[in-house]
Order: sequence, then C-alpha cells, then structure tokens
Amino acid sequence: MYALVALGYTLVYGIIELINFAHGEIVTFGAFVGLAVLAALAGTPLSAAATALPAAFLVSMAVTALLGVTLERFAYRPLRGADRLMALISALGASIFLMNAMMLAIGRDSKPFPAYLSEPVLQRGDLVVRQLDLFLIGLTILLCALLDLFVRRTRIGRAMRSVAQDQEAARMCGVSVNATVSITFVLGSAMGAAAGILNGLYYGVIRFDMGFLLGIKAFTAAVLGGIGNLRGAVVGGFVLGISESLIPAILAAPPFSVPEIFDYKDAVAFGILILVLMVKPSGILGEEVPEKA
Amino acid sequence: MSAPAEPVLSLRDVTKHFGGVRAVNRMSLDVPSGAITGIIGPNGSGKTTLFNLISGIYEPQAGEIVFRGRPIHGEPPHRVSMLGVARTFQNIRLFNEMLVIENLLVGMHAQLLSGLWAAGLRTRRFIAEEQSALQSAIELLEFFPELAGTHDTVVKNLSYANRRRVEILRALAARPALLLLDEPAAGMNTTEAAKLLRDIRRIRDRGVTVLLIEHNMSVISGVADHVVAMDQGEKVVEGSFDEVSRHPKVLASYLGSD
Repeated sequence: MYALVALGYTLVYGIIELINFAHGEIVTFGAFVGLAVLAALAGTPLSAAATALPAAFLVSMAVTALLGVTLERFAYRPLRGADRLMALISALGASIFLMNAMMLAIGRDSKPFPAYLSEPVLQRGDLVVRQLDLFLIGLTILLCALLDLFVRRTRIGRAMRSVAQDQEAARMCGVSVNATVSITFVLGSAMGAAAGILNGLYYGVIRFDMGFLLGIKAFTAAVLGGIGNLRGAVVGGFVLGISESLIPAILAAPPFSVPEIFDYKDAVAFGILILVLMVKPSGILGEEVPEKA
Repeated sequence: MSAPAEPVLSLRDVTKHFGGVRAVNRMSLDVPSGAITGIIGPNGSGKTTLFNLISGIYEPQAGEIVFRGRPIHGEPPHRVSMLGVARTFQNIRLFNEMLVIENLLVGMHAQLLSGLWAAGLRTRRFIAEEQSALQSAIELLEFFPELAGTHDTVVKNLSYANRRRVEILRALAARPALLLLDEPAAGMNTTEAAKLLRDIRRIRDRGVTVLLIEHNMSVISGVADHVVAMDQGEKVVEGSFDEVSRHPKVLASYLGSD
C-alpha cells in the first residue's frame, strides 16, 4: 500500500522534479469516492464483493485521475519553469486546500468503510490471513507490474522517460510535454485512489486527514527506494511497511520487552527517513536515479 | 551552382532580442528544397538562436517563418516537429539513460498514434504499430555502419562520435522534410568529420533538405550547396561557398579571427 502511494510521488518527481505534497489528499479523495460507490451499491444486487469492489476501484481511479490532472493544470503548470521552491509551496498549499475542502464536504468524523473479503483463508493459532490481505498484496503487485510495463514498453512510457531526461529535446521529437505531464498525473492519481480504497478496506475507517500521515510515510518509502525510481518506490514501500510492523514487534518481544514501542510506530518510519537521508540520500536503488520513471 | 528550387523554409525579417542584445535581427532567408544549406558565422553571431527560432523553442518578436507554405512562428516545438522539422543540438542532447533503439523510437513518437487506452489494453493495432516502429528503427540504424550492434546499448556508453550519429538518426526517425544540424562535426577529428560530411550528403540524397550550422569553413566547403554567412545577428552575404568565402566582410569578421 505504501508502495502504491509512493509510486505516485516518484512518478511525478521523476518527470517534473516536484514533490507533490497534495498526493496524500489525492489518496484520501480516492478512498472517499470508493466509499461513495460502495455506499451507492449497498442493498442493490451488485453489492457482492465481486461486483462492488471492481466498480469502486474503477470509478474512484477514474474520478481521482481527473482531480490529479486538474490539480496539475491549475496548481503546478502555471509554475513550471519558475523556481522549484514556488511549485513546492504551491503543492503544500494545494494539500492544505484539498484537506480542508474535504473536511467541509465530509465532516471531521471518521467514516466507517464497509468490510469486504474478511473471511479467513488461513488460520493457525494467532496467525490469521484474510482474503483481504491476499487481495491487498496481489492488487498492489499487479498495479506496480502494469505500471512498470507501461513505462518501459509503450510509446507514452518512452515519452515520459524522455521528458524526464531532457524536456527540450523531447519536444523536438514531437513529444508534447504538457500532455505527457498530464498522463503522469493520471497514472499517479489512479494508483493513489487504489491505495486509498485499500487503506479503507484494511483499517475499516477513513477520515478527511488520513492522507497526511499516509502521504508522508509513502514519501519516506519513495526516498528510501530512491526518489524518481519506480522500482525503488515499490521496494521502499514494502521495506517500510514491513519494518514498521516488524521493528516494534521485535522490540516488544523478550530481549527488549518494551511493549510501549507500539505507540511509536510512526517514529520508526520517520527514523528510517532520517537514517536514509543521512547514510544514503540516493536511496536503495539510488544509483539508477537518472533512470527516473 | 545554387539554383534554388521552391524554398522549403522562408524567413522574413525575423528578429529576436534578449534584453538589449539583438541575437537575430531582421533576418531573411530562403532554404532551397532538396539541398544542403550551410550557415557560417563566428561564435555569438546568432546561428543557434536562429535554429531555436525555427524549431519553436523561441518565438520571434517580429517577422515570419514559413515552412512548406505554412507559418510556424509561435507554434510550440512539438507541433513544429510534427510538421516536419527535426533538429540536433550543438551539445548532443540524447536521452542518455535510454537505449539507442529507444531514442530512435522517441524520435518516431509523433507518427505513432495509438493512445493511452490502446497501449493499456494492448490492442492488436498497438502491437502491430510498435513492431513496425521497431522495425523501421532497426533499419534506420543501418544508415551508420558504425552503429552496428549498438541498438541495445545505453546511450551514455557510446563513443562521442556515435552519440552524434544517434542524435542525427533520432532526428531522421521523425521523417522530417527539413533537418537542422547544429555543428554536427564539432568535437570530431578530421577523419570522422570527413566521413560525416559524406553521410550528410547521403541524407540529402534521401530527399531531406538540410540546414547546417558550421563554425569550421573547411567543413562547409565540402558539403554545402548554398552558404549563408551571419554576423552579429544579421545576414552578411549568401551564395555559393566561393562567393561567400571571398566576400570582404566574411574575410574580415570571420576568417580573420579564426
């Protein structure tokens, strides 16, 4: 899940070297659109997981992609070519704006997210694997693989990589930079929407400000993997997710026995960010940074 | 010697100032179709600015640029490229982290039409189009025998001369009617430069009009059918190489300082 959100950061950064702080809010938005679709389908013959979930994912990814493109069009495109700091500030502004707009529209309370796929497929003592867990991992891997294939093997993917490396030369090859950047936001936002719904399914509640922490952690994952590098984002996402659950679990167990550590789960994530930035700022797959998208 | 056919490109009083600097000033020029036209001039005489104006990177403050009967000034670079103008850069600007073949495929970008959905769904048309593009890229690579066997090489690992060649091929991949070459022989030794000149003539013989910037007079003497001399953003003289090279202003401003 971090991997999916991290992809959104890294895609955009890879192409236009902008850290899209509003990406976390894009994820929240995607979750709420998904919730709306599920709520609309509830009680109809389509409410079964096999029909309701695909509908929620497709609609939410499409609508959220639209939001991403709009955001780029109005908040970032006018600042392209301006100082990078300007675009960064605009991204922060967009993030705060979207978060507050959602608060006004939806309210400050957590909204329950309907449970799907909660039957266990494997149960051995304390260990319970639900259908949902497999679905989450499976969908994440599938989307990451599709994106990788798209960027590596298609004409538009090539155009994205060419724009990442030299915008002017890409233009001279007939590549429209604006169209390419828009497509980048479409892909990043659609991935974010999928992550938002998965997040809702997993935790069972969503809130207008959930994207903030999720976004910052995913950003950590992207940096961990080497920002601008797609495969790095996926690796960083999985590494972060696993260490966030594993490190507190280890520290709570016998040799250390500090159960309070679970309250500091987030500190683990950001500790990792600080450590990566100090030790290897280019990230795990950082050598390949210029490969970008 | 230079019997200009219908010009493929015409500039009329094209002007571009940067602040107080007149980079290009009231420049008029006809580029005859099917020939090699050379632009010479000392550094800072506005040659590259002229290329940037033609290719749409800059918009002129005054004047007009007409390509195949159609005004192109003010069009964005990717539109100009789609209309049939391709270029190389003085300091090679390839996509260094991509494969040679991918660079050529980006060059074909504008001719490949399958959209996002076709690519996403991997329709039959999309696959056929990608395959024929790959096929033409492989054929194009044969234009330079020096590039044999390099198509899966990452561009940054190529020699300097080969990167120049790939950049020319990337421009040709767009099937342009007009090819702008910005000092293609820069940084090459004399043997390589001489070979490149023959290659540029082969490009012309494929029916591509070539407009070529060159700093080195001996390079241009061997290849250009028509020569234009520039100095301080203005045209000094044009004609055959012999006419231009004997012109007193050219001798003074250019050869004298070289």
